This record gives sequence, structure tokens and C-alpha cells, in this order.
Amino acid sequence: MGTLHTWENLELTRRSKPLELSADVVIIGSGAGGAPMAHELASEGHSVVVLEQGGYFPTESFQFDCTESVRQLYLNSGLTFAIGVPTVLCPVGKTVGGTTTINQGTALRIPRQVLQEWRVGDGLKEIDPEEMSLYYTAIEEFLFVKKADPEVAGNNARKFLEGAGRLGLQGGYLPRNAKDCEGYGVCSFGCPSGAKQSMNVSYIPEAVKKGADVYADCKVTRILTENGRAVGVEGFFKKHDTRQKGPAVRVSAKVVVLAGGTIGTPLLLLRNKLANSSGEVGWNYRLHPVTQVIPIFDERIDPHKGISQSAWVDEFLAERISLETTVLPPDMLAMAIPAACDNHSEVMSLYPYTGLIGCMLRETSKGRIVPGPRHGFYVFYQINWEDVRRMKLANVIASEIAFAAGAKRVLTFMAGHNELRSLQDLKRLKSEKVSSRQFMAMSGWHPMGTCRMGDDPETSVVRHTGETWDVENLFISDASVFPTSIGVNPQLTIMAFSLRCAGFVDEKLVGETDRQEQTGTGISTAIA
Amino acid sequence: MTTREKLYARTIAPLVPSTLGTLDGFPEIEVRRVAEESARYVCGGPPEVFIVSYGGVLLLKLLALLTCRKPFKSLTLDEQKAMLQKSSESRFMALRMLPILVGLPIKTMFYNQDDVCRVLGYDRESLIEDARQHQVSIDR
Ligand SMILES: Cc1cc2nc3c(=O)[nH]c(=O)nc-3n(C[C@H](O)[C@H](O)[C@H](O)COP(=O)(O)OP(=O)(O)OC[C@H]3O[C@@H](n4cnc5c(N)ncnc54)[C@H](O)[C@@H]3O)c2cc1C
Ligand code: SF4
Repeated sequence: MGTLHTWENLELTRRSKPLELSADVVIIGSGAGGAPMAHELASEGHSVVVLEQGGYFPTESFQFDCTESVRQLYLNSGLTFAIGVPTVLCPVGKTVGGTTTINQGTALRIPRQVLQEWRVGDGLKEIDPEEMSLYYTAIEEFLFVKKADPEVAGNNARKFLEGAGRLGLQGGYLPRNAKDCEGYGVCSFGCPSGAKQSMNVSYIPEAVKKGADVYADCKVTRILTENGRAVGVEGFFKKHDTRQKGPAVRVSAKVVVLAGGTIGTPLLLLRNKLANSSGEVGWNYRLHPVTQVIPIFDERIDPHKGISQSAWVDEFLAERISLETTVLPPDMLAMAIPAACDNHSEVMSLYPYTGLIGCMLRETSKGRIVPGPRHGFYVFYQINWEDVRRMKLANVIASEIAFAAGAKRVLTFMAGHNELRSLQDLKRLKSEKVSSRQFMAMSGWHPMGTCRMGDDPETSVVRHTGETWDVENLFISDASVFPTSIGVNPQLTIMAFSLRCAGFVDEKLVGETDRQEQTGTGISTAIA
Repeated sequence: MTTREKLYARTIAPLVPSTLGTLDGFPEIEVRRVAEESARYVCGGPPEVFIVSYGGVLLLKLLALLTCRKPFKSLTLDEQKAMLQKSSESRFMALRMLPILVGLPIKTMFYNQDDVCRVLGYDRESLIEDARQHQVSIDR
């Protein structure tokens, strides 16, 4: 049995002496990429240390206070933006469980055709769809993935599917990693009943049971290398709420796995000037741009009564468009509506009558992550004309569904087409060209791609195994390795790649043990 | 509150009522609380967000001086709202986004209040109680 170490149980307020640890493998980040890997390797009997910069929050602490949750569980209080026209809100999690703790729980597999593109176009022919399918199945069983229960899916989803059905569009309830979900609709702010099987209540505690040691509030700043091999990491503790700085930490390990996510991982590599002979680290940033359409009905929808994200239309996946319903509590909807004064208050007063449809693209646009001063960073992302055109189309389809479902008005938040009151307005939107400037609120919830995987060290950062081309025993296991965006919610795919990568790390560790036995150096987990 | 939070709260407070617009049937706006909570939120983010948001507030006030020839504070509530509304409907993206950006924390903090949520049918206390009774525990 390992331990989930927090600031409190390590009594860090009173400790100044650095922590010296050693393990077979050290994993940076406890999200979708880090947690399954920790569980898998600990199950194989390896000593595992996980370092997570965010705090640990038990289920009881999730109390429907979304604004407070955003402050506590999101990086930069949720205020992460990609600079471009429009500027895109692109928040990520910073807590034990990573972004899965605050995600919507939608659990989809990668579309076959995207995997095929990677195999053919990106030279990743070793990634076998049948093998991937085994990982997906294992994860789905572990996380109780099943379709959303219509009983608790909520009226927003019901109306959306009715509308889609009337238009003859293919869709349905979404598969989710939740067990006995009551539809409280606050998945993105910490599930208050523990139903959502995010990493903080699934792979992480199970990894701890298998012997992994997890350290919350612990930020890694340095990757240690010797003779071109990764041999450990260094960092420091920092309390997530008071920001009090704690002691330094150093972990020696045979293998280092970066699972800090699409922002955290490239920043670590860039700051350490490692694994970047291709010059690709930080580039190729994708985020699945999303805009929202708000239908307003005559009848009560009570959008908060229901699963946060429970239905979709997948008819247009080949056209790189996916439509998914989302619900938000009042404060978060208030934040999401890009309107001023009376326009805003009028929509908010109609909250019980509103629905929400997210229009998401598998984009071709790419951005970049750049380190900034004082541990900060900048994200640059400019949506291209092709995606703008697609986004308009997605808004048109979502609005058609809304009207078919009986909406009396549809808010699109595209300047010049803010509010559609009739099919005539919709026709005008269809016929007019729009520019990126017209999108008043764009977000991206699925960052991917800043340390891309490939078959050529000149154009990619990691091999198909997840190991970096440049530094031996340095692996990456998170969404940053995706060569392109995938067009569907990515957590399950990140986890599947995590399990796949764990197999290669396991091989490495066995090989390293043999090597060390020959040279007489061994390592085991211990706190100095 | 930190000095930066106090500064932000003081600067944004005059914008609170007009940003929230007409609120029939809602509890009265607690301007100070909303401004202070907004400050806590914005100052908790990266410094760039503070700079942009604070700069935005100052720009809006400058806009009032330029377009209405009066300081924002001296405008009536209706004049303030008209100014913000006009800016949000501008053809120019920067002007259009200005009141929206500045209003973001204000709106979030107002609609986060329990009594405001209740008016919209969102009863946080009963949700907490319900969730307490439906805790999911899993033995794998
Ligand atoms: C609001 C929201 C809703 C979403 N909904 C869904 C959904 O329904 N379905 C879905 O499939 N996907 C969803 N996603 C996306 C999905 O959750 C993420 O894509 C996924 O969790 C990313 O996994 P990751 O391992 O790459 O990174 P994360 O899960 O973000 O994990 C990275 C972790 O590393 C830590 N870290 C980073 N740097 C360091 C460092 N230097 N030292 C120590 N720790 C560090 C971070 O704090 C973080 O906890 C959603 C995302 C958001 C924001
Ligand atoms: S809808 Fe509610 S109960 Fe279900 S997973 Fe989300 S937060 Fe948990």
C-alpha cells in the first residue's frame, strides 16, 4: 500500500529539509495520461512516485460552488486564454486527477478513421487498432463506462435529441465514465457524489492501493539527465490555496514519465532545453474549438437538472463537426454569455427555459505554447478560415436542431447574428460569409499535440512508444503526443495511450533492472 | 484583501450595477461584495489577465469621458447602460468585446450568490443535501 501525500499529512508547513525520494518510475502529473500508467506499473510491482502540482480534494469537498471550484481546481483559476482572433478560453485542471477531475465525463473512443490517418499519414503504423481496442475495453470496464441514463440526462439533452430526430440526424446519448450518476450537472466543478470516475476517485486511489506514492502540491521544475538518459526530477512543494512555498523535492528514478498535459509537458521540456532537436516542442497545439448555441424554449427546461454532457449528434464527424449538449449552473452560464447589460440579464432571467448546444470542431488550425516569465506561459492560436467556415456550419446545424426541437429563439453569439428568431434569420446566417472576428465567445476544452508522436525524429518529439527521440528513459504520456486533433472528447484515448505506453515503460524497467544488476546499482522507493 | 485586489475592487465597483443590467425579481445587488469577489477572482489568475481586465475597466471609463463627456460615475444608470450596450454592439471587435470582458467577473460573482441562484430555480442547499444522500462508493 502506498500513500496519497498532501501538504497536511506531510506537515510541510513545519518542514524545510528537502525530500529525497527514489523509485523505479516517477510520473509528473496525475491526469488522464499519468494515472492509468501509475496504476498499471504499480500493479506490475514497480515502485511508482507520482508528483502533482495541484491539490488533493476529496469528494465531500465538492459543494456545488462552481466559482470556488474553478479557483481551486483549475490552472490559473480557469483563466487560461489562447491569444488570437478571437481569443479562446482554454482552461485545464490542476489538481489530483488532472483535468479529468473537472471534465464532463464523456468517454468516447478515437474514430477509426483518425487512427488510420495517424497510422498512414503520421507513420504510426505500429499502433494497432485491435490492440488499442483491448486498452479501451479494459478502461471502459474499470471506469464503468456506459451510455448516459435518459432518466437523469435532463431536458436539454431530451429536447436536443428530439430536434435531431425530427431532422433525421444520427445521434444519441453519450457514453460516460460514471456510476450511479444522479445528474447533478456539475461534473466540471468536481462531482459531489463521487459518481464520475475521474482519476482522483479511480486510477489514483487504486494505484495507491497497489503501492504507488502520490504527492499533491508538488511542482516539478527540472528533469535530471546523465549521459543522455533521464535519471530523475527536481521540484518543490507549493500549497495550492495559500501558495505557500514548501521544501524542495528530488526523485531519482530509472524512468521519468511526463504526464503534465499539453501545456505542462512542453513547458518542462522547453525550460529544461530537452528533447527538442526537432524544434517541434510546443508547436502543433490543438484545442477542439467550441462555440455555443443557446436555444430558448417556452416550456421549462431547468437545465441544471441533468447530466452535464449527455447527448450528441455524430452525423457530421466526417466533416469534422461534433455537436454535444452541455448544461451549466447559473454563474457559469452568466460567464459564458457574451452579452452586455440588459441583453445579458434578459437571457439570465430565462435560465430555466434555456438549453445549450456545444459546436465542436476537429480543427486543422494549429497554435503554439511558449514559456513566459515567472513559471508563466503564453498560448497562441489563430483559427484558420477553413475552420471558421466549418464553425459557422456547425452553428447553423445546431440552430436548426434547436428550432426543430421547438425553440422560440436561438442565441448564437456570432456578431451580426446574435439572435435568431426565425428560420428566415437562419437563412440569412447560412447565406452570409462570417469571419473569425464575429465569434464573440470561443473556447477549447481539449488541448492536444504540443509534443507530437511520429516516426521521424526530425519532425516529432516522441516515438510511437511514447519515449522521446532525444533522451533515453524519458517518456511522455498525455494528450501532447497526439499528432492531430481527434474530433471527439479525448480522455479515453489519452488513457488508452497511457496503458500502451506503460507496456513500453515496463519493458524498459525490466531491462534497466538487468542493466543495474550487472553494474550493481539498485533503486527502491524510500523517503529520506 | 491584497492591495491589488482592493485597487481592482474600487475601480470596478461603479460598473457593477450597469453591467448586470435590469434585474426584475432578483435580490438587490450587493455592489461591494460583487466588486470584492470579482477582484479576488481576477487577481487569482495570471498577471496578464489582471492587466487586461484592469486596463479594460480604465478604457471603458475613458470611453465614457470621450463619448459622453462625463466621468462614468457621473452618468445616470440608464446612460451607463446605454454606453455599455452601444460599445457591445460596435462594428469594431475591440469595442464590442470591452464591456463583455470587463463584465465577466461581475456577472459570474453576482450569479454565484445563493439567493440569486434560487430565483433561477437552482437551490444549492438542497442539491448538496441530495448529493450527500447519494454518495457512490466503489469497491473494485
Ligand atoms: C471543463 C472540461 C471538460 C472536459 N470534458 C471532457 C469530457 O467530457 N470527455 C473527455 O474525453 N475529455 C474532456 N475534457 C478533456 C480531458 O479531461 C483532458 O483532455 C484530459 O484530462 C487531458 O489529460 P492529460 O493527461 O493530457 O492532462 P491532465 O489531465 O490535464 O493532467 C495533467 C496534470 O499534470 C499536472 N502538471 C502539469 N505540469 C506539472 C508539473 N510541472 N509538476 C507537477 N504536475 C504537473 C497538472 O496539474 C495536471 O493535473 C474536458 C476538459 C475540460 C477542461
Ligand atoms: S452529472 Fe452530477 S452525479 Fe453525474 S457525474 Fe456529473 S456531477 Fe456527478
